[in-house]
Parts: sequence; structure tokens; C-alpha cells
Amino acid sequence: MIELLKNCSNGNDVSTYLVIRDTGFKKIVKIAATPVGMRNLRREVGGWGWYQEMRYPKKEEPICRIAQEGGSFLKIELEFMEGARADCRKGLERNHENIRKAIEHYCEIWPSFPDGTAPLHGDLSLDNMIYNADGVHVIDWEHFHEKGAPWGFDPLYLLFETLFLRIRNGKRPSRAEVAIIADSIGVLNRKQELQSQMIDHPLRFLVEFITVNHRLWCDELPAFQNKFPILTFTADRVSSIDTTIRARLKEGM
Amino acid sequence: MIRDEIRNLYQNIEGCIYSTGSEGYWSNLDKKENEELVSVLEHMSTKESIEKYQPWLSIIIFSPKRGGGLELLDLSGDETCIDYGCMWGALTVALAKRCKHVLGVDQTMNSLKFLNARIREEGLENVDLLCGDLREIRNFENRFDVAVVNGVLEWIPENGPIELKKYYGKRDVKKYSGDPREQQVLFLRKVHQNLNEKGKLYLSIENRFDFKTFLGMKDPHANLLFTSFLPRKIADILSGLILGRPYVNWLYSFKGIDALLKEAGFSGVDLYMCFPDYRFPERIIPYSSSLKDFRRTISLRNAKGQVTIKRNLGAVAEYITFKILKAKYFAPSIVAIAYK
Repeated sequence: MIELLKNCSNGNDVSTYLVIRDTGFKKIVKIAATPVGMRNLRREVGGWGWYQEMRYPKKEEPICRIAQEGGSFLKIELEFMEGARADCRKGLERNHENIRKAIEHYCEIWPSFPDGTAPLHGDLSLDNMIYNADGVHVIDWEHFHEKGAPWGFDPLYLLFETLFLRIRNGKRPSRAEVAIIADSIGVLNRKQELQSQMIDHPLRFLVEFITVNHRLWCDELPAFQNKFPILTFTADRVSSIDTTIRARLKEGM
Repeated sequence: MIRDEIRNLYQNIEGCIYSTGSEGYWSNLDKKENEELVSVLEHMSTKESIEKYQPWLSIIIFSPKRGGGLELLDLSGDETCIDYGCMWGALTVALAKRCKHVLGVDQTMNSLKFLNARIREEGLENVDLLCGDLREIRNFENRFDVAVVNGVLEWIPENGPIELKKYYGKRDVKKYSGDPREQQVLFLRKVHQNLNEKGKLYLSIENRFDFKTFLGMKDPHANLLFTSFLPRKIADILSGLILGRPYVNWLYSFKGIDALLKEAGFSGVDLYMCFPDYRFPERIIPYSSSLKDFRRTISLRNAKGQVTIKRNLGAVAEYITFKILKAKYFAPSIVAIAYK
């Protein structure tokens, strides 16, 4: 039995399937037949390779492998991971515990290089986390780069993407939401000193980093505005959100 | 080899196009528009010509989403395939990238000329195109591993050239001989004969009982209200009054498709629900499965990125029908994998 789960969402040119054998054995299959999609799948294989080494060092069988490869076609297979998914549309407050675990997981797994950069997941959102008895598991490595962004970029992105979904109608972030973001930044900063801009104006930092380095994700910026909703905030909005977070961070220091 | 057989039997027109001599016409474009599109291909790529003359077709022809259902065929890469009614090749190209050989069959020469140029641009060398009436092409007994009938079965009972823009919902007095279902079964029997013993058919079509048709969405083939699910005789009368011709673009329920395929000789059929429609599938779910994890597939935004009331209502209706009521019978489209 096979089921199409996702089909080229956000222009990633990748179709994702769940395959269930009669024995109950489950696996995930991803295919691509365009240069963009094939590049994303190669990154996914690379990302899993890196993550497996860090997260599951004792495991010998690869979690993700190439199953079929042609000149203009690529198919990969991944282990199916049982567990609960968070719903990022529920926002920061109702996901508080999930966020805390995700940030902790990042601090535990992600190394930082001497120049302050770190491996980049590139789409670390609550939707791409699986929670089970063995802890947190990060999935969907289509934007992986071994070196690409400052340490802490991925979790910052996670925080603001979750925030965006609650306040896109022009609402102001609540005190509790601001507190969750500021506290998380504090946790990250205690593990590894963040770049000063990431503390002084974290949202502006994210927006600018993505805009300048959009090639890490996609060749052209306009094509992925939907994928990176935080880019749709106006400069005023960015600055007012940053101000409230900074104020809260100072309170806590 | 199918390829040698085609070369020996039919006249080569250009590139990989061969003709049976029985050319016809079925296209979303008028003959003139199609001519224009093809005439510029000497100094323009297929994408450029579409962008220039028919930008609305761009995603219909080129979107990689179109081939999202083919994985249901569990392809190994070694298959010889036939794509019935291939038109501009949305599925032909997707199949060619992952299989050994594809024969695309279509009655419209200019669609094939466009596709021929596209295949050249993609650097694909494993495609042949045959221009002819799908119902009349010769029997390639047991030669294919895979057959694709994507959005084609409902058009099988039609006769004569169709320029869709001038035909869809327009008055065009016509008479038909024979029962639409009989013709569809006859066609599927031929498809069945062409498959080898392990062969599989990929069939996709709108559900006769698509939930949207009850909410006022017009029949996508006749542009009339309710015709798809009304009793055939009443649909005939309605179509006769408004369009001057009987209603022949028969659609089926899940049960109906299963019965149709079995009558055509297929031994087994796997049915799938396809959301939000088979042309641009977002989710394809086995009909036997529950809709436990169902998520909305209708986007709130239209092609221009605006949130519309109609879209919102559609999304709410989809949520209620499938997430709450789990009314699988009303899924928008059907994909069937049928086994010889």
C-alpha cells in the first residue's frame, strides 16, 4: 500500500510517499525528476548522513539511502519514524514544551566550528520534528549544508516561524510569546555565545541572513516567499518585535 | 522492441513522431492557437512559447506535480509504457524520466509536435509518439508493462474534432451512436490486451460523486450543473436542452470504476482517493484506508495569491466531508491501479 503524502509543496519539486508492506513494515519514499528536486534529495541524503552520525552513532544501517538513480530521476528511501508531531500552527505557547525540547536537542547535537558557523538544517520547524520515547528526532533534511549559517540560526528560525503563524494578521506577540523566545535565546547563548546581532535584533538578523544567503535554499528569492513567511514582515514590524524581545532579554539578564 | 515495430509500421512525420494516418483533434486550444504555438518552436523553447502565447498552460504542462501519482505503479525503471491521450506530455515526460521506454499516443498532431520539441529539450531518447485515434490503434498484444489513461476515459465516447474552448458548455448539436459505457469498456479492453501478464494500468478520472459537484461546481466536461451524478437519462435530457447533444462524458463512482475495469478484463483493482484533484494531486490515499490523518488540500488562495470566499467555502466543505464525516465516497478524484 502506498500513499502520496506531499507533492512538490513550496516549489521543492519533491514528492513524498508512505509505503506500508503487508507485513506492516513502513518506509518513506521521496522522488524527484527535476534538477531542483534532485539537488534537494541529494542534500537530504547528506543531511541524514551527518545527523545519523551525531544522533544515532551506533546505528549501522543508513536511515536514508538512494534507491534508484537515473539521469533525470532520483528516488530515495528513508526509515519511517513512529512518534508524535507538533502542530506549529498552534503557536509558541501551546507548543512550549516541544520548543524547549527542540532547543535542548539542538544544543546537544549541533557542533559549532571555530569560526562560529554550524551545519544548517535550513527548515527546522516544529513540523519537521518527531517526538517519541527516545526523544526528539529531526527530519526533512532537504536544505542541509554542512557549513552555512551561524550556530543558532536554525532554532531562531524555528521560534520566529512558529510566532509568525500566530501574528500574521497584524496581532502583537503576547508577553508569554515574547518570554518564550527571549528565554530560548538565553538558553542558546549560555550553551554557545551567539553573534551579537542574534541577541540585539534576532528577527532582523534572520530576515537579512535569508535574504542575502537565499542561494542556500533556492536560486531565486521570489520563488520561496511562501516558504519563508517571516520575509513578509515589514521593516517596522521586524523592528518593533525585536525591541520587545530585547527588552525582555535585558530583564532576564 | 516496440520501437522497431512502430518504425516499421508507421510513417515518420518528424523527430520521434509517427502517424497511423487517422489524425483527429482534441485540445484545450483552438486549432489556430495550437498552430501558432508550434510554429515558433524553431527559434523558441517550449517553455518560452507557452509563456508568450498561453501562459495559463504553463503549470498544466510543466509542473512536476502532475506526475505525483505514478509512484503508485511501483516502478523499477525497466518498464515499457504506453500513455494514452498524452497531449503535451505532462505524464509522458515524467514516465520517460523513470522508465525504459514510453510510447505516447494522441490524435492531435500539433500537441505531439510540441511534445516532440519538449522531449528533445529534456534530452530524452526513450520516447516515441504515435498520432492516431486511441480507440483504433493496432493491438500490440501483451507488449506493455504499464499503461496510463490520465483524464482520458471520460472523453472516449466523444466523436469528431473538439476545440475545447468552442465546445465546453457551448451549443453544438451532435448525435452519438452507442452507449458511452460500452465504448469505454471496449477501449479499456484494448488497453488490457496491450499489457503483458504482469502489466498495470494507471487510470485517473474525476469521481462522479465529487463533493464539490453537489455544492454547485459545474461538471468539468460539459460545464453543466449536477450532470455528472444525476441519473444518465436525466443528464441526457438536460444536456440535450442546453447543449443540443446527449451527455456522454460519463464519470463513475469508486464502485463503478472497479466494475468497469473488471468488465474490461482486469483481474484486480486498487482504488485511491485523490485530493484536491487528479491533475495536481496533493494527497493520494488508498480507498481502503481511514481518513484519520486527513489534512486540508484546498488552498485558501487562488492562482493570484488572494484569499477568496469561494476557496474558503471549498476548504471548509472539504474538511467537513473528509475530516469529520470521513465520507470517502465523495472524494474529488479517483486513481485506479488495475492489474492484468
